[in-house]
Amino acid sequence: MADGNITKDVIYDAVAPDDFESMLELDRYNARSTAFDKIISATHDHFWDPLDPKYIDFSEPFDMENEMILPEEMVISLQTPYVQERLPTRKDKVRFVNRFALRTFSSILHGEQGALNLSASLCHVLKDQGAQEYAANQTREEARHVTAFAKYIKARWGRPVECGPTLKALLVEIIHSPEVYKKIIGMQMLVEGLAMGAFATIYNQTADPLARKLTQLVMTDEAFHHKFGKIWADRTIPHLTEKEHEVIELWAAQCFQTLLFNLVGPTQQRSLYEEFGLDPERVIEDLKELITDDTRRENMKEQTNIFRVLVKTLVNAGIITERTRAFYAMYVDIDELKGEGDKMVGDEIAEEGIKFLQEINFKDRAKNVLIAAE
Amino acid sequence: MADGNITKDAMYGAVAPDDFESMLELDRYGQRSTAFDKIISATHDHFWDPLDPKYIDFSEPFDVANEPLMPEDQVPLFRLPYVNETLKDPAQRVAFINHMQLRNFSSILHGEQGALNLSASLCHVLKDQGAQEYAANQTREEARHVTAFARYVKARWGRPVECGAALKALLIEIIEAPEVYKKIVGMQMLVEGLAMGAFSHGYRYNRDPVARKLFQLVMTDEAFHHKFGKIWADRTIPHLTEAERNLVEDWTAHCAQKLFFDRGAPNQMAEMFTPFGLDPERVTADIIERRRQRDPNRKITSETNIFRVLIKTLLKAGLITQRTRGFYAMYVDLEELAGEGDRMVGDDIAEDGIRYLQEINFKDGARRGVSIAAE
Repeated sequence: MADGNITKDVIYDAVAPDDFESMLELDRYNARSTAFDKIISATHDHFWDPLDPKYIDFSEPFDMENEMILPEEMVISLQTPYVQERLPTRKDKVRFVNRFALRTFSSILHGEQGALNLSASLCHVLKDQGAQEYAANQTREEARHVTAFAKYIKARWGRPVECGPTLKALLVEIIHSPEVYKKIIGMQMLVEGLAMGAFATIYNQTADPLARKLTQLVMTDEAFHHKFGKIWADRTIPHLTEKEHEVIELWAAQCFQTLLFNLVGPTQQRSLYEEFGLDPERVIEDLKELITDDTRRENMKEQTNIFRVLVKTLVNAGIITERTRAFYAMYVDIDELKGEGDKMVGDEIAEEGIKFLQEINFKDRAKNVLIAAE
Repeated sequence: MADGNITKDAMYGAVAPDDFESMLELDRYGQRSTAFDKIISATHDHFWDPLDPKYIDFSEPFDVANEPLMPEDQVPLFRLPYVNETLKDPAQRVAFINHMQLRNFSSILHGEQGALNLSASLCHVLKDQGAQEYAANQTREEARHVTAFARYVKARWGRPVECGAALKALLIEIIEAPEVYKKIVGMQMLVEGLAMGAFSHGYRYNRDPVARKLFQLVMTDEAFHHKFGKIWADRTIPHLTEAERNLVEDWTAHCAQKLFFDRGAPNQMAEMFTPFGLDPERVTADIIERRRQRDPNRKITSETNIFRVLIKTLLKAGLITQRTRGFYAMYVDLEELAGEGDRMVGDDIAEDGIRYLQEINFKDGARRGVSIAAE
């Protein structure tokens, strides 16, 4: 077993990434866990193919010149007096919002690419054959997400923009890390959790039916990926030593902070401001006045707020203790989150999506849908 | 691009296994090749699930203690007088045949595990996003093969036996190699080609209906994996410099040597003879003597013979030139192979399998045509 994996259940046992020989151990095959069998078998139900217009048609038009893909309110910088003044016409604002949306979708695309490589890297380290099959399945699903978001960006803007350095650094770190806990918390719980929140927000607020369909289809897969992280947490967190819990909790907080900064850090949108001839320093200054801890907290009360979903995941998993509670409490009311059920914000959207896919995949044979994985 | 990959088509362009940053290059997404789109989209047609008895039921019984899984005429060791006379008791003969099958299925299981890890490793190096999606898809399919063969071995024998040293060494070599050509030639063309031959043979001769169903289902996937290697060869070999061609050809012969001969060498089988009261050295000596006495011009002619299938793949791909022709010509008539069509021996079985899966997957819905053709 690779050092420092912090696995407490045999289904998450791991070996070093270059230790293929361990995969040939004879008792490994029969010791296969059944914990992920339902998720693995469910893949056929929610199969979809971004290359097939029967599922999603990327040629569907959208008036990029006159319509906003995302609502104006989502672009906080547009609410500053300086930007309002410099972008006076409706068309200016539409262009600004849609270039902002390009950055959002590019981040998602790069994140999906990271998820593909991360899942493939899990195939090399997860020793349990059931967990490995799950990871192989996720690799395949992430690959179709890369294809789908790449096609969407190509259809709407032609080309994505660069991955932000903060997100890129996090992706590189978790993909190359040999420790399973870093991969699972970093990708399955946080990046996937963030994705579920982001997709739910886009699904609910976008004016582009194609973006709405795309986020729903992706959520039919992601809901299960997120469950993999949840199962890990359920079977790991209660058995941690104090020291191990600290390691995991601090890693989670580090990832959270990185993702939060990547998404809402005012400096992260510098290239957008420059593209519109705006003085980035001036926008950033104005934003600091506009975004206080109170407004941030208020924003997070909205159910699909991306980071609220993320903190809820960590709270429900038992990862957050007094050690880091204050850090998260700046943004959300932790007690309120605790009182809520386990159901993830995107689960209902995903379940609707699976019904849609069953209609296509198994005409006349639509079955009941349940995201529950255990 | 990683050094030494010897790729001649952008869709097989590769990066170093730890170079994730290259995967985020902006133009990479838009330049996605469509060469594998048909294979990728076909996956839904030939979906199957070894965990679902609707596709294959591993609880179906077979009397392994009393029934031979393979007919005796498919066990060449019985042609050795020493083995034939020592194993007189019919029960012992059944046990011997079925133990050989356990070794055979265990090799396949370990090979599938190798294919899973190899495909996952391709996801890290293949830069073209279409090729990468293909590799991700193959990873998923190999994983279900591991599950399926593990269940079959468990159902019939309880536990697999060790992976042979020669196969294990080759698997480790191609999984750890950063060079794409080594991975594609080693796994997609040779191990997958060998598998197609072994599965075709098993499908034809194995007496256990579960084993036959299993071979067919796996072949519905493997036929496409093998095509991936074929597409690589078609787009790469004609553009190689002489030095590159020599390198690829030598690597091919190295893998073939490991798979054909080291893996099947009598010393690799020695430990299985003792429990049956056979002297391994005597059996080994008899095998060598028999090979010596054999007509040197006798060639493998059976269409489903594993090695013949494999050599045909290499020949059609242009991976055999005068440099290594003599090595392969010891076993097959290369002229005869060159005159045969492109169709792989297992393709018909795989296409029948896909029809079977379409029946299950899309009852009342799809009545589409079936074709393994990938381009």
